[in-house]
Parts: sequence; structure tokens; C-alpha cells
Amino acid sequence: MRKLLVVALLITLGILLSGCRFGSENPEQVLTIYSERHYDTDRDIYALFEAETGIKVNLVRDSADPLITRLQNEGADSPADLLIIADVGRLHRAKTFGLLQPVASTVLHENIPENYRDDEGYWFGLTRRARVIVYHPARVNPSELSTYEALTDPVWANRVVTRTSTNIYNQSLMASFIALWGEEAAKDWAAGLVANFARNPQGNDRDQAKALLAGVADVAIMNTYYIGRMSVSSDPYEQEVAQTVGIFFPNQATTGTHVNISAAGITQHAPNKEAAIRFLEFLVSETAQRLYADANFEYPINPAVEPHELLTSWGAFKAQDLPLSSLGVHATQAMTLMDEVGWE
Amino acid sequence: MYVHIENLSFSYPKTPVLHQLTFTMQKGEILAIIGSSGSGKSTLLRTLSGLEMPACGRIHIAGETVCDTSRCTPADKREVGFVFQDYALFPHRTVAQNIAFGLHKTPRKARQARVDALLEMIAMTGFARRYPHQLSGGQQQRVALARALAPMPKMLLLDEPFSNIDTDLKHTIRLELASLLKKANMTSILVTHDEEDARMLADRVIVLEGGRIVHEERVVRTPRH
Amino acid sequence: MKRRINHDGPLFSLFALIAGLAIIVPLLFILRHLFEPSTDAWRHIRQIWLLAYIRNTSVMIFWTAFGTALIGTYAAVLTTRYTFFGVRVLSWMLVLPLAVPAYIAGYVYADMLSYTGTVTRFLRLVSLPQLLQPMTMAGAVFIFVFTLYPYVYLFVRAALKRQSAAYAESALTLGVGPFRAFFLVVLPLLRPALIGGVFLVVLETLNDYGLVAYFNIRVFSFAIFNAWFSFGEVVTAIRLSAVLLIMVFVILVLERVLRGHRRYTVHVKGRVIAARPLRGLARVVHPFCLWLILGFGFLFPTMQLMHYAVLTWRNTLNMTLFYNFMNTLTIALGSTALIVVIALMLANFGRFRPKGWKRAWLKATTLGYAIPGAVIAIAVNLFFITVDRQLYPLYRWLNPASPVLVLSMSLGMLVFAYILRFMAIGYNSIEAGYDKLGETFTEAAYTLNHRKLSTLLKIDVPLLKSSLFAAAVIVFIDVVKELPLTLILRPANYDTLASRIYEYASDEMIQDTGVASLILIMMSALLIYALSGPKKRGRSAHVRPY
Repeated sequence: MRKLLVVALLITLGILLSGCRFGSENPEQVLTIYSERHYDTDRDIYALFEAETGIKVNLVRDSADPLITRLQNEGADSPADLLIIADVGRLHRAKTFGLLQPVASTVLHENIPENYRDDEGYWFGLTRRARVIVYHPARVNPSELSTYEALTDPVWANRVVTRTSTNIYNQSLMASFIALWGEEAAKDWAAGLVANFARNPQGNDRDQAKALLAGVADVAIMNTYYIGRMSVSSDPYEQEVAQTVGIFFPNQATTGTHVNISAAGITQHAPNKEAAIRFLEFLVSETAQRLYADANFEYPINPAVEPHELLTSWGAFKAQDLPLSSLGVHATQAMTLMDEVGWE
Repeated sequence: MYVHIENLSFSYPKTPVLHQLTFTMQKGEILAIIGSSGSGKSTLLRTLSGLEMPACGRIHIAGETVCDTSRCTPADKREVGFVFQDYALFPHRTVAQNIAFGLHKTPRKARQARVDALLEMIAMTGFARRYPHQLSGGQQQRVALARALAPMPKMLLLDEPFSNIDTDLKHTIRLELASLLKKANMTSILVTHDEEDARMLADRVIVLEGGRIVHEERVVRTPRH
Repeated sequence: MKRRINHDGPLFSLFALIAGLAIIVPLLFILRHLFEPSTDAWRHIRQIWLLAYIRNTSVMIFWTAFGTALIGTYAAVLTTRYTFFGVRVLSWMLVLPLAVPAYIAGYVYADMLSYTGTVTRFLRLVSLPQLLQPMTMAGAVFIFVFTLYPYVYLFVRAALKRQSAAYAESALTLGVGPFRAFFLVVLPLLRPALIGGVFLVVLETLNDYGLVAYFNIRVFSFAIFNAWFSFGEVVTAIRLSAVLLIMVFVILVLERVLRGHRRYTVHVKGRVIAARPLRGLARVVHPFCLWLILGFGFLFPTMQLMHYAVLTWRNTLNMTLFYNFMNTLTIALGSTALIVVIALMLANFGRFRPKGWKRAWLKATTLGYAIPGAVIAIAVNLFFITVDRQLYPLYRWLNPASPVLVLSMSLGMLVFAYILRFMAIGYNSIEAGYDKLGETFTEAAYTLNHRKLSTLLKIDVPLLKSSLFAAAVIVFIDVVKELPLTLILRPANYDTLASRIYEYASDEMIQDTGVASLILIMMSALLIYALSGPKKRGRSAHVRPY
């Protein structure tokens, strides 16, 4: 028993010591990234960067908010160089918390359209996702669809599904409406939508698409990204779902379809700012953007790169013309309003 | 005096257990303490062994003050042997390992010799590798005694040594115990509720009631053997 | 005053003091936020959600507690008091659902019952509608009940095995029928075990985040994460946790009050009731029910996961997964060893019915189990950053190029958080072992000139072996399953099976979790087999023939 204890303690010590090693690597060769994105594609892109530059990429992955809290706690001592988040609202929050620093780079300016980067250079978009209306073609004719607002019409009573109000994509959709129409109109929209819900919000985006096939609802508000992922799902029945449903880009004649971006910002106390800029420039280069587009069904941020052919088959679309930082400005307000109208 | 106890008092929160006990013992004397349950007799043993700390009073054993108002020697340094009521033989150790347990500071060879000698003394030489649960009640008692005697304690305390032994065997075992203790010239205190036990084994009997000594007498024994 | 000597060597007091400080100080870091001024988010949540949170949480706890108590006791009584075909296999397999994390069961059931799921497709094939709505309160309770009942089962089973036949038999001789005797005598005596098991269930339920977030059930753990992360409000999150803590406290006090002065823990030695064979229809019905329970909690989800694994193993079974597995194994082993050792030292310090401050201190060291994972995570993170800043001169002296944050970038932080979180499980289990063991063996060793440490190693540890092992198994399983701490506190480039599963699931790729989930479940299942599987020889710590 005694031996067992000693061995167990030695193992533990070994783990702790090997863990400590992380802090003592040569800092010049290491770039530390706090990222919310955890896709295999991203890893492949980072590996490519490592091979090209010899700079090692250290990845800390978690949800956006824990990462931001962690950055705040660490303050000036943070090892992080770069913060990557799949929602621009959160990056804006990081900016207002003073966690990011502005960067000027012609490469970034040339590769990223103006509305997908912060005008002061605090954050830069990497990829885009559109939040669209997905419908069941047997029960909905696309000609019946027009705008997000139209879904509040009583015609759609008991026919609409979407995720919960705690979901960041719905929060940023709501925030965009507050920015476009003002608080009152946005709140009315949310209330109208809730009145038309076919069921209490639940599940993830894929579950919304499945609800269409299950006959629970006729239209769903969801991200293009997940339709793309379902089309290559390992489950053949999910592929069937993706092939069955139709995609509709709303508000084409008016304000445009809601778009959110994954974006990155260099941290206020980045120990390796130069390398971080180089990394950012690499991420928006055509090589990296090509990988994002092909493997992850996201719309590339770099206009020089074509989206995946599945996405092109849905046609081009007009996106909301809105400074994306407004999504961050109205984020809390959006949540509060959604709570108030009973969007669960 | 070999053992000298002065004004020993002990109390649990709110309930006093021992009141100002004073008595002495000669070297090699066997003292029996009789009392009904709750008279404080087991507590007295625990206090003497160092398992409990008295509220006040002094304990001297073999010329050493082991406990007074300022400091108390803990049980593991007091060198007082204790035979527990249910023997407390370690179930995961063999008879030999149980006996050797208190000899951890003795060199291996001497330890082995001492264990063998004790096994012989209690007439259980063939049982060295048995486990406690494979022994009868009387055998367990003898092993417990041998274990307590092994480190050559300054005195021995026995708590109800016969409570787990069948009546028909009690007589022989009592005699055995008495002769073993005498053979070892061990200063011993045994606690019992049975007057017959006390009279057959002890040189002197103290009756304890409500934590006070109410009676004390020397046993006049007709020669046995 | 009764004073004890020798039982508290300075070694143990010092150890308990340090361990207690290490656990309490980080929590103080976070609790001071409680007294900061109210924020808009707090007012908003209080107005709109607080009542709903309390109501939903209460409903969820009540039904989960009720369901686990019912099923756990039912299974324990059947497997200890009756014999029937397969009882030996069932009696250990019924513990297996403990190996299935509630969040995995949640993902799997939601998928099975979704439009593309196995169950729905089957029902479509036979032209039946699929009417079950998994992502509801009822669904969540169902999953909690069938994955958590083993806690009750284990506790009640152990109590039933110890309960002397004398009680039930004396009831029979007093003219009370066997059925009534069970409810009047046997069941009331099981109460401490039942409460102990149900309490663990309640804490696990309160702490779950993955399942309630996916099902969108507005309970406290979800609210705390949401307040913290969506609103970015530490203060609000802490306040919500404080409300939660008060609820836990109320439950505890309520139980104490209900118990009154009755005693339940009388150890009467004697024969235990012999198992009787089931007769008639019961021979079929009861085993069927037990297999069904096992099916819901373990067999069905595992079978579905196997199906996922078949679909996805080509993409997911690779070296990365192997590293994840090794990480899980080493960190779980290391943390478990530390927790068991520390818990043993603390339990040893707290033996002999601790009173007053000592008792309070020991209670405080096991507080972590009742505190939401997210709160612990941030508390530990803040604590480590502070420690790092204090130690910076030392780091620089050792290595001039050292960064400031060393410990908080290491695995030590996560291990520390696990210790804080799971100390209670280890401690309670070992304390119960000490209770059963009694004090005489230890005292006998003291009178044989052995000191505390030597007694601990030579006498207590071997005699407590089964309790220590049981504590280790449960802690290990909990560490392996743990999610919020692992996600927030793991160092760079470090993944465990659980964090990997979470990432796949949060990317809505439930099929891809198949292989990782199966490995995770099998690791725990093997340990459960070792703990409670059929024994070849030796039945208890007291009888150990070689």
C-alpha cells in the first residue's frame, strides 16, 4: 500500500512538473492564441503557419466568455498574443474592456473588406456566416418568404422554430435589428416571432433543421454553416436533412441578410506583437482562406476567395450593411429584450 | 512505590467520570478494579495508558512522572501495555505479525526471537501464520496478551479480559492468565465486573463506584496449583 | 473538558490547516464580490428570471431526488434480499450508469429521439408517431434519474447488507406482516443511506451544466454560466451561486430537522437477512424492470454510441484521441491519488468526533462540492494568478527569462481545482470507513508504541483499503467526467476526452463523439467492475485470508 501511495505521488509530481514546463519555453518562438474556434481546419491552418515560419503556436481553447474573463484576470501578465472569437459582439466587448490593441497593416486592410474589420484596427474578421431562413420545400414555397420581419405575420403562427435566446447567433441577430430599427421595433419583432414559435426553443441549429423534417415547423432561422456541415455528416440521415431543406436569404430587397463573423484581435499586452500580426496576415491570405472555405463551409472574408461550391449553389446574397461593432454595442440590450418578450 | 496515582480526575463534557483517585501499586502486583458499567473503570485504564488526558492529577510509573498538570506523555511513548476488551487484534496481520507489531524498534533477529519466546509462553507456537479470525476466543486473548507484553511494557492494563470467553473455559483461562502474568512479574491492572475474576487473579481489589474508590481489600488466597 | 492526547500530532493539525486554507482562500477571493453593488444585469435577472430559476431548480431536484430514491432503493432491495436468474451480474452492472456522464446521455437521447434518430426512424418504419419530447424538463429528469440512481443504489445496498435481521425479525414476532415490516422498520433504518445517496444526486444535478444548457432548461447552473458569460457579470453570477448555496443549505437543515433526535446508526452485530428466491410472476417482472433500468441508464446509450463509433471511427480514432486518452488517464490518476491522500489525512485529523472549530474547518474543506463548477474555476484562476505574481521574484531567480504566469499556465491549476471540487467525495467516503472501523485498532497500535503516521500507514490504511478504493473509484469517475473546470482551466494545447467530447458536441457533431465517449465510459466501467464486480475471494476488510 505504501509503495502504491509513493508511486501515485510520483506520477502526480511528474504531471505537475511537466505541466510547469509550458511556462518556460523560449518566448520568441511561441505565439499564444486564446481561441474559441476548435475546428480541425483551424489546426491545419496553424500547422501550415508553423511550418512556414518556424513559430510555434500554443492554443488555449474555451468558450468566448471564459477566455475574456481569463484575459481580464491575467492582465499585463497574460501570455496571450491573440484572441480569436466566433462572434464579433464578444470581440467588441473585449475591445471595450481594454483587452485588445489596435494594429495597422496594409495586408490586413487589402484582404479584409472595410465593414469586416474594426475601423480603429482592434479586430479583424476571418470568416463569415449568414443567418438565414431554412424552409421545408413541401410545405413552403420560397415565394412566400421575404424578410425576417415577415415571419411575425400570423400566417406563420405555430410554424417557426429557432434556438434559445441564450444562443449567441440569435443574440447578435437581435442586436443587428436594434441597430437597424431601434429598440421598440426590434422588441416588437421578437415578440411577434415568439408568438409564432411552433415549440419552446431548444436544441442546437441542426435540431432546428430536423424539426422541419419532423413536421414540427415549416421554417427555421439558422446558420448556413450548419447546413453545410450536415451535408457532409457521418450520419447519412443528417445528409438527407441537409439535401431536403431549402435555403432562403431574407431581406435581399431591404436591409440584407444578417451576417456574423469570426474575428481576431491582438491582445493589449501581447508579448509577441510582430509575430501575431504576421499570423493574422497569414489567416486572411488566400491559402488560409481557401482552407476555411473548402473544409468548414464558412464564407471566406477575403473577397478574392470563392466560397465552397455548396454555398455558391445557394447564390450570392446581400449582407446587412452595418458596422459590425454595433452587434457588440447592443448585445446586452438584445438579451434583455429577448428575455422580456419571453423568448426562452 | 512502583506505580503512584494521585488525585486523578477525568470528565467528559458535563459528566465527571473519575473523582480524585489516589492509589499505589508494588512492582509485580496484580490489581483488580471492580465496578458496574459506568463506574469509570474503563476510563481509568484509558487515562493510565495515555489514550485519554486527565483533567487533573498525577501519574507516576516506574519512577517517572508520565502525567501531571503541565504535560502528559502520549500513549506511544508511555510504555504501558493494553489488552483491549475485544482484543483489537489487527485482522490483516498474522499472529506473529501482531505480536511483532510493537517491536518495530527491535532489530530483526531479536524481534524474531522475542516473538518465538512469546508464542511458546502462550503455547501457540504452531499458530504463528494464522490470522486472528481463525482463532478461538481464548487463543485470541492469549495473542492479545503476548502482543501487549512483547515490547516489555512497564505495566499492563487489561480491560474486561474474560468478557468474550465461554463460561466453561473461563476457569482454565483465568488460571493461565494469572500464571503468565506472575511468570512475567508484570505489574498489571485488570478491570472487570465479575468479583470472582478479581479474587482469583488479583493480589488486591479496588471497588469503583461513580468514579470514586468505595472499597479496597487485599486478597488472601489459598495457595493454588 | 475532555481532552484527548496523542490523537492530533502536529503533523496532522498542520496538514489540515494548510489543506483547509488552500481550499478556503480561493473561495474568499470570489465571495468578496458578493458585497459589490447591484448591477443592471442582476436587477434584470431578479425581475424576470429569479423566480423561474428557483421554481425550475426545485422541480428538477425534487423529481430527480424522488426518482433516484425510488429506483435506487428498489434495485438495492431486489438485489440484496432476493435471488433470481442473473442477480449476481445485475448487482454490479446496476452501478454502471455512473460511468455515463449526464451530458453524453443527454446528447445521445436527444439524437435518438430526433427526426434522424434511431428510435424515430424505427417508429416511422412501423408507422408509429414519435411523441416523446426529450428536450424538456421531464426529459432532463429522466436522464438524471437513470444516470445518477447508482449513488442511491450503492449507499442503500451497503446499508441493507449491514442491517441485522434482528430488526425485521423482531417486527415479525410482534405480529407485523413482512410487507409492513419493510416499510415500518427496514426502510426507516435505511434513511441515512438514502439521504446520503440522494444528497450526492442532488449536488450532481445542481452542478450539471452540459445537459441543461443543451435542453435549455433554466436552472441555476445554467443561469450562473449565462450571467457570467453572456452578460459578462461576475457579481451577478456570484449572487446566483449564493442563492443556490442557500438552497443547498436549506435542504440540509430541513433534513436535520426532520430527523430530530431519532438515531439510525445503531450497529447491531448479527445475522443479516438471507436472500430468498423470487416466485411466480415476480421472477419475470422484477428482473425485467432491473434490466430496463440498466438499459435506460447504460445499455441503450452505449449501444447508440457504438453505432456512432462505427460511423465515425475512421475520422476520430487517431493519435490525437490517444493523447487525449493518456491525458485523461494521467490527470485523473494523479488527482485521485492526491485527493485520496489529502482526504485520508483530513479524515484522520477529524477522527474521534471532532467538535467546534475543528468540525467547522473540516466541513469548510469539503465545501467545494456544493459550489458551482464555474465559480470554482474563476476562483482558482484568480488565486493562481495572484500566487504567480507573488512568486515572480523566485521564478526570475531560477530563470531570468521566466514569464510571470507559471503555475496558472500549468496543469497544476486544473489539478488543484479538481481537489477543491471533489474533496468532499473522498473525505466522506473515508470518514464513513473510519466510522465503521471504530477506534480500538488505532488505539491498540498507540499502546504498542507506534506513532500516528506509522499507525496510519500500518494499521489504518490496510484496514481501510476497501473504503479508500471505493473513494478512489468514485473520485476518478467524477474527474474523468468533469466538464466546466476542465474546459476553463486546462493549459494550452491540452485536451482530455471530456473536453474533446464537449467540442464535438458544441459543434453539433454528436456522431463524432462516439469513440471518445465510449472510451471514457469504458474507463469508468472497468473501475466499477473492479470495485463491485464479483469477488473471487475475501468478502470484507475484516476477513482477509491469504
